[in-house]
Amino acid sequence: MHGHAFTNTDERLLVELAQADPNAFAELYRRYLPRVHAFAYRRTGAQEVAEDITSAAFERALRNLHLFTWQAGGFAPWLFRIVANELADHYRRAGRAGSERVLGAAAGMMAVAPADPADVVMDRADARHLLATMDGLSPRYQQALSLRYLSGLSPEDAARALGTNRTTFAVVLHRATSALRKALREGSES
Amino acid sequence: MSRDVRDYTRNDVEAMLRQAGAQDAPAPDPAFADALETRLRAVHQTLAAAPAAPAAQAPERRPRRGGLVPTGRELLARLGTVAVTLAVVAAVLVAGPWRLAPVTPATPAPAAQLDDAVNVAVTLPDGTVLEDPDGLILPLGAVVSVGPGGSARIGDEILRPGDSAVVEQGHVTVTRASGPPPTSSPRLSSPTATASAQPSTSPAPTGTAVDDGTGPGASATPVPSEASPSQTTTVTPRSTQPSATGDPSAAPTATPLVLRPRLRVALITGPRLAVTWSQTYGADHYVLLVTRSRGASAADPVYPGGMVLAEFAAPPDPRLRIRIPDGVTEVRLMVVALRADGSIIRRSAIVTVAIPAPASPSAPASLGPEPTPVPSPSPTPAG
Repeated sequence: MHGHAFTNTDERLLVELAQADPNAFAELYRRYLPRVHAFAYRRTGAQEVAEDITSAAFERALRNLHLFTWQAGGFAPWLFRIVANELADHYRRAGRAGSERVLGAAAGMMAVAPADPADVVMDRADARHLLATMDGLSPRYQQALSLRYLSGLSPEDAARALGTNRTTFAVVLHRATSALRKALREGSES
Repeated sequence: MSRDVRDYTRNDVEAMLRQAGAQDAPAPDPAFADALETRLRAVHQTLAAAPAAPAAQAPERRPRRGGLVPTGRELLARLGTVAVTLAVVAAVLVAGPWRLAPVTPATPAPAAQLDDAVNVAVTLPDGTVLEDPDGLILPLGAVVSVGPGGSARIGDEILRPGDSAVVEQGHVTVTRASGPPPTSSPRLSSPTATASAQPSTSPAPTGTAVDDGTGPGASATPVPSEASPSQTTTVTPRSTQPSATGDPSAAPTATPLVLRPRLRVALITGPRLAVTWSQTYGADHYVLLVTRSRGASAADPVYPGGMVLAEFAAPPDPRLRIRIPDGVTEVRLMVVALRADGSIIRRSAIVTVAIPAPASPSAPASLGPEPTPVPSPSPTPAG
């Protein structure tokens, strides 16, 4: 989905350099900023909140860069795991998310006219319901769903970002989807 | 078009998630991106100057190697930990008299507070830039930059023009511009690097209440009743004592009797907001909450539960200025006066400010009145 603009070797060198060189970290930051911001925006539906999440995630990444060890998948799974943690923390702090502000923003985001009306799968109410219902899931389920569907990571990298292997990730994702489906049903019945 | 969600199958749910993930997300605001990069560079330099404390750096839980069941080695380690813990507890109990020292709460490190700020820009962790936020309790990660002719004080440390400081865990790292050496402070270090965004050279409101020629007319703006801050305060370094400079009427009253903080906001060039509030009797500190929106109404600030922009030991004097990012169309502000234990004394009324779109060069000078600061009726009773 997101083709690597530079090779793993290049990225590895860049990450190693970034631990000592602010310019190298700035390069990493510029490369990943759009993806991180987009991930945060799709999950929260609010530009301001997405900026807060993005800011906190990059600072956390910078402060902990010396702990990063290179693994398969490179830097992205590590960084997106931090973003997913920040998102989970955000919703934990906010208590029950699904505030009117988030829901309104989500509705606006989802209301973009699709290219083909036949492709319409969900409307505003569904979009609101989807995000709000996700907020009610456990943090791990939220992270699994958002990393898999909203982050733009490949399934392999999403699994790495969650700190699991592919098989375990598939199990967690299956359970998370079931939980979301169940919650959607319960929400519609209440 | 809405369908009954009870009909959703697993495939439907997955399709909804995929569609949500395929939505176009707006690009990050360039101003936000630049401000964040500047702050990260400054933080990077401070990290390089001061080795990190390992205990405080753990970023996240260590990822498990496999499934949810712990491995044999993990199980043995846990059992060993439990056994050692039990042994220690037993030894303490057997030792007779209870000799453990009473548990005392950890004394938090004294918060870094910005005082006597003149021509100073503070970039908050979220990228928001405050100008001359006198009395600001500096949050972790904040970057303080002193502009030409400016000065500021953080504790005993005096910042001069060109200096910058970054608030780190438990200390403040000051970066000196070329000039006289800093006064020594055990809590401060002085790396040689330079950093961060510089404040504008003319941060103060320029005289009248609202001087934005592209936006609201002065008559349409319910400016705070105080006279505008004197321009001289923005170019003349103040003494290190918090004496009143400029317009004395702008200073908080010496013996405040007003329980409720009266929030006063004016839209000035930039666009920026000039903000201050009246002192509240019994208040130990204040939190400023700001919500923004692009194209719709901003949400009402909520406390507790809302996002606090900044914390102040006292109402800023003269008014602090908040830079408004591009594209923001409405801002709402609220101040909450708090006791030392964090309990709420009173909330201010919520002030809503409509941000006019930047006028194009060919546009007429006046685009109609814009009701800038509109104190709304109090939505909430006293805390």
